[in-house]
Amino acid sequence: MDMDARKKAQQRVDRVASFRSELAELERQGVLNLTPEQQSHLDAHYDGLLSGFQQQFGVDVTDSGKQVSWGMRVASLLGGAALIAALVLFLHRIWGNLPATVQVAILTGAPLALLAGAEAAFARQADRYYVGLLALAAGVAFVMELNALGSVLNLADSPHVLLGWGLFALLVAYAYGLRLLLGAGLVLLCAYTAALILSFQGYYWAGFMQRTQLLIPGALLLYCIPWLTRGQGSDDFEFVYRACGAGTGLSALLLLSTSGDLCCGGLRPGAVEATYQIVGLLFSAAVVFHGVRLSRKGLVNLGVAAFIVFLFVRLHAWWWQWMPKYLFFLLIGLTAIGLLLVFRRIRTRLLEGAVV
Amino acid sequence: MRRVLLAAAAGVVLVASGWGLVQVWRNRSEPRGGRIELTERELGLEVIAAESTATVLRLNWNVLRAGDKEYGPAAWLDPTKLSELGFDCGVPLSKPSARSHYTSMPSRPVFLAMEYEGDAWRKAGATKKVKSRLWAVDAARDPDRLRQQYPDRQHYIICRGLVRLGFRDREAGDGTSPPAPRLEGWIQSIYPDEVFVPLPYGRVLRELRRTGSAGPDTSQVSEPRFAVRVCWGANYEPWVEGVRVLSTTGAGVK
Repeated sequence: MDMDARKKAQQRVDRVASFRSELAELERQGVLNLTPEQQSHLDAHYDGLLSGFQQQFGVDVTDSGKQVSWGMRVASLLGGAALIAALVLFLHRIWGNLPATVQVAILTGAPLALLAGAEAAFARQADRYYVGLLALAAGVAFVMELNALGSVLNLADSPHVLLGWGLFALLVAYAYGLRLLLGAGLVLLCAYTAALILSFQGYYWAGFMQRTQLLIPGALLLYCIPWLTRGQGSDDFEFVYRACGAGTGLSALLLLSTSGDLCCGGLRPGAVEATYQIVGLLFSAAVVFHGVRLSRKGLVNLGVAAFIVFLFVRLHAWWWQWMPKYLFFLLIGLTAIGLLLVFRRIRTRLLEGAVV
Repeated sequence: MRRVLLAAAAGVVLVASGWGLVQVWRNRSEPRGGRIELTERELGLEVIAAESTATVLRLNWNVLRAGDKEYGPAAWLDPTKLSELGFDCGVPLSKPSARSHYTSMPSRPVFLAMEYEGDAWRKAGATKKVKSRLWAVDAARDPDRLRQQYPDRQHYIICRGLVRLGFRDREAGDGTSPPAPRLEGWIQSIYPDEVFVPLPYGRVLRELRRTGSAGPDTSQVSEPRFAVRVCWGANYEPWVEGVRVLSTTGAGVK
């Protein structure tokens, strides 16, 4: 079963429900009245369509069906978490009585078994949510496996685990079309490149959060991948690439802006920080405008959040030390209101554009 | 296509586990880091979880600290030694950018020479409250150089460690400025700093844990209850080779 086809079917069902509801409202207001013949023709068409979708994809065609589905999802999430907790605690209880070979076999088998479970759920045409849940559990099990294996075998930690986790997440994400795993995989691979560079420089690989400039090339590459593979990937995945690229890059800039950096040796530390904050503000604004152009709400929200954080950090650097605190927060509040007015104006323009 | 992706994902899991096993095999092919018997003073029983039967020992070690304090930088990790270990100590300490230069430096992985019941313990250990007789006495980027310097494998082990650089322009206690900023070297950790105890040795230590223990903090252990033979192999990673239970009187072996 194609995951995208199921998603599109659910979206179509939702659109049909909205259309029927709006049509009923128009009829009630006397704006539009279909003839009985048209009405029955329309009903027959939609009933056939919805019934076909329900049989083929198991989509929810009513509100109550949707609510029950959500209830089932929440119950399965809680149940799954409880079952995994039970299994982990049970393993803790017997772990010391198991020979090393059995320990390694259990650790290796756990992610593989969960992956097989995801595939079985997929083959049985289960809801995408359950497939995603099992795939996510497989990813978590793989993370736990390498941690526990390192502990049991007394291995020194290595940056290559990030590569393993990232590749696993990416492969499973592409197999089932899962955005969360794709995002996790991309961030892990971005972190891997930074850790590897740091390791080649002779530093401890896990210290890459102290050298966040090493994350920026990877983040830029992630943001540019949808341009490089124009038209090849799905819209959802392109968004994940951009969101991960923007999120990682802006976070790296934010950390640099608070700690100074080595790449601008000629500048005073304060000047270095201010430079990064202003670059961060500009990049955040660019992400907002790019998000607006792509009609991607998530990208716009990410850019706006980053813009506000960078602005706050800069204002804090300028004013916090010498200004009375009440005045500082007053100015922050007024700045937020000013930003609100700017965004309102942008929104109005966008709405006008949409209406024209 | 989906099956190919899933097979590749399963392959990643298998390769990762296989890689771990190959590293263990390589590590245990030669006890290059040394073979030594440590007691409960140096290897504290770690509690993982209340119901866990897994047995893990945490390595407790000491280092001669600057100013003879209980907590502080290593006395022998001076700027010359830090430069030898690969830290860029070339920026003058009086420069405005010195602080950001030195504080943004991550730790560096090094090899540490750990001395057991040696001069460092005799000189400093007698005056300290801490009981561990394992002392970090030197560090280098090349483990072979350390081994040449400390050839006695019964008393010196070579293991992996992390060293970080500190930039001190304020005193830790009162926050006052010292006459001039200075660089300090800290041993952040040795790694792995925990040793998993496999069967059958794990059962022996579990019994001791059940019958009451000082817990992972062995600083107060006066009479150790067990001794563990630990090897550091070709990758300078440890493993347990044997466990002895010591009698409570301190004499004999059970």
